[in-house]
Amino acid sequence: MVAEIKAILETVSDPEIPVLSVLDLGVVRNMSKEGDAVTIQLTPTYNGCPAVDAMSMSIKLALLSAGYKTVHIETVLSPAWTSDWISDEGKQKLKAYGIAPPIGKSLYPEDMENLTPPCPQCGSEETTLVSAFGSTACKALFRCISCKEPFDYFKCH
Amino acid sequence: MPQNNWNTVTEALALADNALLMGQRCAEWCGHAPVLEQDIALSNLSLDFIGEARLLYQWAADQINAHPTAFPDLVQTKESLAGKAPLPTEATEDSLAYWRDVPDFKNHLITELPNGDWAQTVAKVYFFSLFQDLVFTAIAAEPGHPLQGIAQKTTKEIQYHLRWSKEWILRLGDGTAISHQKMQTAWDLVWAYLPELRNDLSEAQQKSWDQHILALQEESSLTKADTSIWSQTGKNGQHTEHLGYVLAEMQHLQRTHPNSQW
Ligand SMILES: [Zn+2]
Repeated sequence: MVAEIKAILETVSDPEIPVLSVLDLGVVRNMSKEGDAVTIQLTPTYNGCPAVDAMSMSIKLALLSAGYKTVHIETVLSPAWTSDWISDEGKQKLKAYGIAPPIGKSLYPEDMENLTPPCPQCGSEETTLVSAFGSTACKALFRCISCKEPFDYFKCH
Repeated sequence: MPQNNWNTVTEALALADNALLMGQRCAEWCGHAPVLEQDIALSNLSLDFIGEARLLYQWAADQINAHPTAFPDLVQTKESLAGKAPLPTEATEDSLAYWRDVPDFKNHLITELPNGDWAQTVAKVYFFSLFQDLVFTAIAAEPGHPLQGIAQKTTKEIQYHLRWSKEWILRLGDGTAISHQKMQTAWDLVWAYLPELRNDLSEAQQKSWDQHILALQEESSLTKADTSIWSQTGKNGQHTEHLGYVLAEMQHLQRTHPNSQW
């Protein structure tokens, strides 16, 4: 039963990182089904992330168009979302898309100045932080010293 | 309803008002920051602050709607003000943000201060983030506190704000003669608003507050501000002249076209 819902959620992507499904991103905490009613529990990645409202809407639409009559989306704040919840498959997809996946486990923000995520373009480990704040709340901007290309790094959070 | 919940709703509103105003002020830099990366950094900060404010307002709105008689002033029935479209008759995150006036806001005065120059902005962000860090860390560690989930989420983001603002204070304070002088001027100006924050901390938190500020001040070659005037009236709804202007800019669209959606 839940496998059915799971298959539908696989098709719902993060609007800011379209290669990741909401399942890859780890924002779906729980799903349950009763008759043709579905309840999905979502944990937002960042407080002010505008993608969260969009994801919640897309999930609702996907399930409704799959034939479920009622869809409840509940927000769960605790425990807070962490980048550790991004699936391994999700991390591979991020890299292939050109975003360096988060390095290590994290409860606290890492010492980003000393971090050198491998360049998703050329694989070089000679990289340097440009800004701790990137194109979206979840990313920092890095530059590759070898191929000179800038790239996004998905922050440990 | 128990007195405790009343206090917590008031507390949540004050924390939400703080975050909303910091979000609005940081957003004012959008398109004006000295370099693109810093423009993006401030937009990120702004989004984080507004996100916090939304969660806190939503929580407060739920409590208010569950006990409307306990919060007569906060249940929205201000049709007369709008005169154009019916307003929601219950509290929502939007009604709390857009339909309360200056005396209703409970924020600390530092959050309504204008951005001033870059040094003043980073000083505001630093002191405010330090305050938030101490307050939300305590709430996050308190089992059963109704804001625990929000606090856990928020403390993670605050670390980035603290780090960003500290770096700038160090860089300017310990930089050139001009940057140092600008940072010191900002330090002196914002200093007057710090006792209001400090007074809302526990004794242990105050100790930590003093230590953090002193350490950064020394590291940045700044000297203790020579300011003695201070005021502590935000909680009572008494504000500086700046709040009315910033609210006017933030609220005018909802008040001109009630219930309009983006
Ligand atoms: Zn490279």
